[in-house]
Amino acid sequence: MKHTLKVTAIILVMFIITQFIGLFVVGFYFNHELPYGLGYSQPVEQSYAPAFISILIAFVIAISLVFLLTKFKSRFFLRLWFFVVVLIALGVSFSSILFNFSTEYRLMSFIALLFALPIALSKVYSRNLISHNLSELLIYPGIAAIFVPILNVFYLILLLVLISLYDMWAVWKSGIMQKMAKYQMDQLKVFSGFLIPYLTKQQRDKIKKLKIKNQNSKFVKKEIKVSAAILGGGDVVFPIIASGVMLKAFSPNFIPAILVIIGAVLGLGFLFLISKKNKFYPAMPFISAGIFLAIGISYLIF
Amino acid sequence: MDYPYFIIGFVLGFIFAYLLSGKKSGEKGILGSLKFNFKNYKIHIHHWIISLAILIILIAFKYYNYFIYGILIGIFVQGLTYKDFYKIIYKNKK
Repeated sequence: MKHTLKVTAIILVMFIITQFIGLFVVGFYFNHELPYGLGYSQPVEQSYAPAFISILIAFVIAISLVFLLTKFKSRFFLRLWFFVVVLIALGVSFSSILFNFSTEYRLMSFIALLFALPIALSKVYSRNLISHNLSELLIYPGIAAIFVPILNVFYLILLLVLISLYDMWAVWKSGIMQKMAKYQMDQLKVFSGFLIPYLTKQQRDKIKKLKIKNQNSKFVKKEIKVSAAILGGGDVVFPIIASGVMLKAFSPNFIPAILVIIGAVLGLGFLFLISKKNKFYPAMPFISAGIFLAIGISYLIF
Repeated sequence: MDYPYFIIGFVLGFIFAYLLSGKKSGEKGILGSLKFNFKNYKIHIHHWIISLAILIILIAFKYYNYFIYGILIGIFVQGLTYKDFYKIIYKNKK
């Protein structure tokens, strides 16, 4: 196992909580229009294919833009982009809660932005890990809510296959995923995904020894490498989209959506179990495998 | 939304908060900060949190006045201009 049992459990619990928050947020927008003009002006049912192609083009443009901005070290634009995405995603999630309090939707979506603003700013300015991870629980549901209306089960499967292939290529073949994550954490000081730094037994022993060695001197600063468990934002958002699409396809039966969450958790759990220290793995193929299994079971039973 | 009243309220709220609060992070203004000690921790209820809470209470009670909303949002935004706006719970310095 790559990480300690405790850290692995924390990541899995955060993943599960986000999936269920995601299901709530996505389900809410089945009957309500998305705020900030993110809704669709025409019924999507007849136009899944163009919508899917649009998603692919958007992904290609986004990934290329990230590469370019990273290459030219345009930190300001990357941070600004990150800030805007977090602000809107949080706004969408908070709106789904606030819409329950008042029917003044425009006002409520504006208030939701006020809730989102300090969190989005703190993500860019501070490096507090607790607030970072807590806010992540609400960001991905907001993003997923935008994509669920324009996908059906067929295009969802296609999307998951393509994303899994891209993930494998980016982690195992080209290594750009690791480079991007490193750049985000070291240079941009922001990271999109769950991030839990921790100390292994050896690292703790090393600190103990250093403390004993330097117990008489007051000002000793020494850099020590710590381990970190990370789970990229994409690995969290795609399962939410999957469970949301299944919720839409089998509505009002929500069991298939729950099965998708279970499948994704099992896939991710399996990856954590077989992963080895100091090696990097693409999570999407494992998560997608679990999701496909859940989709298959759902169609067999329901 | 009643935009002119909202904007006037916003500007007044921002100026009001600017004049009454500390000029820099950690500096004391005319109105003191709302801080509590809890065990080894300090809890700082920033004025952006207070104005947001009041705003939510007003909406919950269906009180719709965009001038008042503007004032509260002006105070809220001014509160976010401090470098330590996100430090709500922190350890007491020994």
